[in-house]
Amino acid sequence: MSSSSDRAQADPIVALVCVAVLTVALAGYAATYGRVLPESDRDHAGPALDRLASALTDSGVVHPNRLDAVVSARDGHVNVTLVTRNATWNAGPTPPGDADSANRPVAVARGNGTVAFGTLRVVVW
Amino acid sequence: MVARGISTAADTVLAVSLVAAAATALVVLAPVATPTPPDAGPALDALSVTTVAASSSTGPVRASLGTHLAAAATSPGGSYARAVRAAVSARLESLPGRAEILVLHDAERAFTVGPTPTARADVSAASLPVGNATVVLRRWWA
Repeated sequence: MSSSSDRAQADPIVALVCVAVLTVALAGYAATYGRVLPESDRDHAGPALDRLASALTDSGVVHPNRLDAVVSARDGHVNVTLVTRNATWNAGPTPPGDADSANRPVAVARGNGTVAFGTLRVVVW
Repeated sequence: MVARGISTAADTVLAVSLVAAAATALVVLAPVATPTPPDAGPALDALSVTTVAASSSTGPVRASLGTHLAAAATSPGGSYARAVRAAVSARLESLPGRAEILVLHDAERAFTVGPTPTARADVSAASLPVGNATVVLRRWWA
């Protein structure tokens, strides 16, 4: 039977260093994992754009005069911008720089009975 | 005790090597995220009902771009077709990425506006019947 001194544990310093190295390696792996795999839960602007476009649209055409009412009816932080070649409408507070955004081409009703080609942009945060 | 210490260090080196190999495999084997092409449907819907005045032989004609495109496809070489092409091109250039309009008339490609996508481009498309013509919008990232 071998003596207890032959079966001693590793030097505590060596063991601590090894644990630290392994911890750093696993943290590096976790960081790589989070960076490489696609993120799927951060698209808040797309669904908001769908809902707002639906609320603003009648017979396939967006009505700018509804913008303030539709935006104020939402309880979340949202900013909506409607842009055509000759005019811009905006409603909602100023968004922070890192807010999610989405946009879509839309047909915009003008007062004289014409329809303009424009872009509806929604920013949520 | 020294031998046990060396063994612990060797085991750690092996473990770290395995973790590094796993991280490398994650980077190398993970699918490259390719952006989906911009949706052609909403753009065609908006474009087709946009009203524009285009010069014709009888003077300016105000109509929807869908109607203009279908009419221009019957004589794609005329001045009216050029006016329609300019009006459509200005709208297409405001879209993110690239876009092309095809107007198929009598089952032939009669009228085009914008660049043609390369064979390898990932393209989204939408079509809209207007009279005897079919207006097709294709969009893709450059």
